[in-house]
Amino acid sequence: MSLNVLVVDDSAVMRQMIIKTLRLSGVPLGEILQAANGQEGLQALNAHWVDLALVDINMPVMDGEEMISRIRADAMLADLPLVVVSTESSETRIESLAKQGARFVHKPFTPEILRNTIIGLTGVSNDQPGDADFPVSGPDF
Amino acid sequence: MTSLETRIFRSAARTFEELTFLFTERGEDLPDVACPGAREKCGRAQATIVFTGPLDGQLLLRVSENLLPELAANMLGEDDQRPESERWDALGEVANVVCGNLLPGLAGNKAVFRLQAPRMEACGVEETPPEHLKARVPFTLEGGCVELLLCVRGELPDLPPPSGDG
Repeated sequence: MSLNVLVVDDSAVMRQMIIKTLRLSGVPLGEILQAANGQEGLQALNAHWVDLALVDINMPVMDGEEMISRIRADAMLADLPLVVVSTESSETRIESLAKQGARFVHKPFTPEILRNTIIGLTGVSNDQPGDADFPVSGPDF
Repeated sequence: MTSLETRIFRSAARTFEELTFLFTERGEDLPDVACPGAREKCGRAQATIVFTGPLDGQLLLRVSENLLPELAANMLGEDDQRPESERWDALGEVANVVCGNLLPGLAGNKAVFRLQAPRMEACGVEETPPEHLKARVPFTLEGGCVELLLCVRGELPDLPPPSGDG
């Protein structure tokens, strides 16, 4: 199964970093969509089938918290797997996002952390039995 | 360095190292202005992050312009011929990550902050320090100059002393 992924971040460079990490992660990918804020992200979700969304928190127009709340309130989108990729460190906010079923990856992140979070959330991996090594090693992203 | 300056420096050093693979050259024995003449000789690029919450203020990240191409290229792991817009975007993202990682150390792990989108601009010689300046942390980064300025309205809470090496 290939995952259609939506990446929502107001930084084009960060979106490219996340997409590059996804491509190196071994997670089978279908279509990769991008959005620069929560409003664009919701529009993309309404126009395309998406299996997983990676969402930043602090964004202009509509932030990630509001986007996630709207997703959970929408019967068609409520079950969408969500990963928050953010500099956010507030335990209060992280707990609030966890209650909405979102996983959390802190920036800067390692490719391994992003990959393991996605596999843990979706159960989807290209790994062969016994293949425990991530294909990318090195510094954090 | 004061406790506040140490926190700012550590947050910046970790972010540059892990996000851009550029390493700081400041040690405890280096002078405060580790890049003498930078303000006069280097063109500088600045990213500003305005934050609100338990503390209101802004974090300014200034780098010499020779660092800009490296930031985007290193973040994306590609050649340094990145478009101009990506170079500035990379600077803004570094400032965003530094700020996001710094604030909980100042206001506690439960504090909730709102960070505005980075504002990027070229900057010349500083005529007057920005308002509410609480700390200025200059250092060098693999041949370039970096300066972080933290501005906070009102008084900062007492900070516990930093632990470990600086």
